[in-house]
Amino acid sequence: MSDGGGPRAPLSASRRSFLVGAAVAGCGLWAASARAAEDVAGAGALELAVHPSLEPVEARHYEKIEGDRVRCKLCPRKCEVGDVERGYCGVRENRGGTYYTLVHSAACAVHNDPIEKKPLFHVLPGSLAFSVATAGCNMACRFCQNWQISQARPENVPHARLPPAELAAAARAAGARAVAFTYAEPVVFYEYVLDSARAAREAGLVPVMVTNGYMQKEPWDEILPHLGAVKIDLKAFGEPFYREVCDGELRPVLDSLRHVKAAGKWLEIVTLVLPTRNDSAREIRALARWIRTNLGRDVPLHLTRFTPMYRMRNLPPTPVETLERLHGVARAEGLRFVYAGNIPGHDLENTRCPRCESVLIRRTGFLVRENRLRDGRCPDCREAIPGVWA
Amino acid sequence: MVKIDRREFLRRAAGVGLGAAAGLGGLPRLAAAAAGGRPQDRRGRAVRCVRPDLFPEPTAAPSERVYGEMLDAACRRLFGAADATEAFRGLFAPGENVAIKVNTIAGPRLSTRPELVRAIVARLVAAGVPAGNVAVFDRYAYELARAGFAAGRCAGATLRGTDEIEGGGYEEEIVSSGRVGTNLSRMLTSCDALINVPIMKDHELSGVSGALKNHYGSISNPNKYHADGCNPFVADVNAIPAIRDRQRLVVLDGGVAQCEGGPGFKARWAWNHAGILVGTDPVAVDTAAERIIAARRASKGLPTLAEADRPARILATAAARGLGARCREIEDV
Repeated sequence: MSDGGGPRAPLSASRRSFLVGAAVAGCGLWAASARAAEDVAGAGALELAVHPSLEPVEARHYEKIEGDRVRCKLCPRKCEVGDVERGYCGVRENRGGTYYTLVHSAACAVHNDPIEKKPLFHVLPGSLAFSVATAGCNMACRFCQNWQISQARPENVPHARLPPAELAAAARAAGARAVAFTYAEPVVFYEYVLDSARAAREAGLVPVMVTNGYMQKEPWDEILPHLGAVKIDLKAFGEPFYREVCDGELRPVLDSLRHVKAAGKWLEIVTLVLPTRNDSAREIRALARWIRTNLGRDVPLHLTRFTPMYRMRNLPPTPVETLERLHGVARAEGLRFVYAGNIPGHDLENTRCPRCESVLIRRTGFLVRENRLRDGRCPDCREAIPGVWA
Repeated sequence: MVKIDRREFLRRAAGVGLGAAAGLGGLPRLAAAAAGGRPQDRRGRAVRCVRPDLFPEPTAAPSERVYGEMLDAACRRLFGAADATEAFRGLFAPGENVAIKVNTIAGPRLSTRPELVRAIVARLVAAGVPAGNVAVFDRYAYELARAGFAAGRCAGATLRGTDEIEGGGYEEEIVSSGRVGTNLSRMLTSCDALINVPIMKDHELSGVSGALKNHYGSISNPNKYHADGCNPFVADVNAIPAIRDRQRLVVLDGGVAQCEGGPGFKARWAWNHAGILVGTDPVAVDTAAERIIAARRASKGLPTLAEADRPARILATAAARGLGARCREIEDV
């Protein structure tokens, strides 16, 4: 599950204070959803007659079809979109047979977060990830903790113009080592991710994508070379859950997981455990077995605790005991790195050597208290620990 | 003028509360009696008035005066009232806040006309609803402006895009109806009564876009609800009590209509229908529009919507949900 974006900033925040605030945010406590920038869309965009706060950029991964319609090829929905209509994501719009992204550089949430918050536990531990999102999503998960932006149209959330080069510069100024595309759903702001990832790399930063994985192979092929790591939500291991709770499908997410792994990119997986919905031992066993068989036993799996949110306020928070039990189930299937998330201070947040069980990285929530890794190895038994450590 | 509490208004009306006139929104008994007949007498009814002189010239702006006369004629038939003003006296109490939802997504040539809205506002004012109690809205201020509405006011009524409301324009509370979960425009939730003023066009997914589809502009996330011909989502949206119970009247702007290529404007398939459809039943109005569009498509050699694999299933679903009834026969005046 994408990490939460924090509270929304006062609407009076100027763009300058938006960026400065983000740069000095430290642990990302400053909420940075700013009002639309004053330097809004130029004359070219006005001809398209879109909201004055947005600057349309022609989208990638679509094709023109009959009668001024387009077919989007970015995600498995393959929306066929008529003139003046948008795809399911709400941020890509057809105008006269040309498909536009409305959210390139239209950041609605910016935080300088601990990278563990993504969560990425095997990537640059203890570092900061300059995290950004736009509005929109290609799913509609009933438990989404970022629904105020993920389910919104871009005109309806405060946002500021943050072009890729400025994003990278702000990340450097903030002392981050990574740039994370996160919170809502980076698949739908794909073009912004692609351009910003390139800018981030040029600035010496590590781009990471925190995503639901609901994307087609071709855009993955294009963007993966520019990413340093990927975290994908594997929300459940059954099509009914994906269909009923997320309005999506499981199979394309499994395809994405395989694809990212085959590309050699560092991959971590999050499963948010919802009481009575996806918390059976059988389901997690099958999920873990699939990961081991298809991705390998070294892909970290985060089993995270659910808190009532959005359209699933009727469920209780996940009992800690459930996470502990399911952790055992996943480990029994051979996965070497299984974590329990959203329970600050719990031992299952720590990274242990899979061979000698020594604590390698000790955490409290998103805070790294101790990192004993030496050259990516256990200091006690010298076991190589997979990850991006430098 | 003294503003009375809406509940008090209904109490004085001897009491049919909202929702009692199933499928006809929150039409109070007093309003029904004053306007002639019982609420259920207007179920399934759609009255059309066509005036070839609506457009002085084929490409000229329509006439506000003629729009007003059409509205009067349609209300005479539908309500048995002397004119629209008398009908409005029965529909709206002087102290109520009345919102008018227009449709401006397709630009200046296929949007609700300001001239029609001004004619409606004038009759509301004549019926005792102060102009300050009337608000005309759609999703975005820029779409209203592009459709020809002057910024800020319309015949003395407030003109506003939902996006102009501080804080984002939508209620924080999530409302659920069927498979829809959404946030409502505060322009909608801040009114007591609603007049739905859509346009008449085909839609590439839902088949037809009229009164029912117009409420996609009243919610925060319409993009999530276009699968399967927008069905059952359109009915789900219209079944939301805050919409269903506020809506008292539909005045469909059929000045310019379109039979193919919607929702965007396609000059080749648009025509000066020069008419309006009036009803209290959105299903009746939309099924009448469907019939008009079907006839136009046939005259142009186009396949039926069903043959084009986009039948307007949203209409049957809305009827099945109790939101109204199919119009058996368009009543022409």
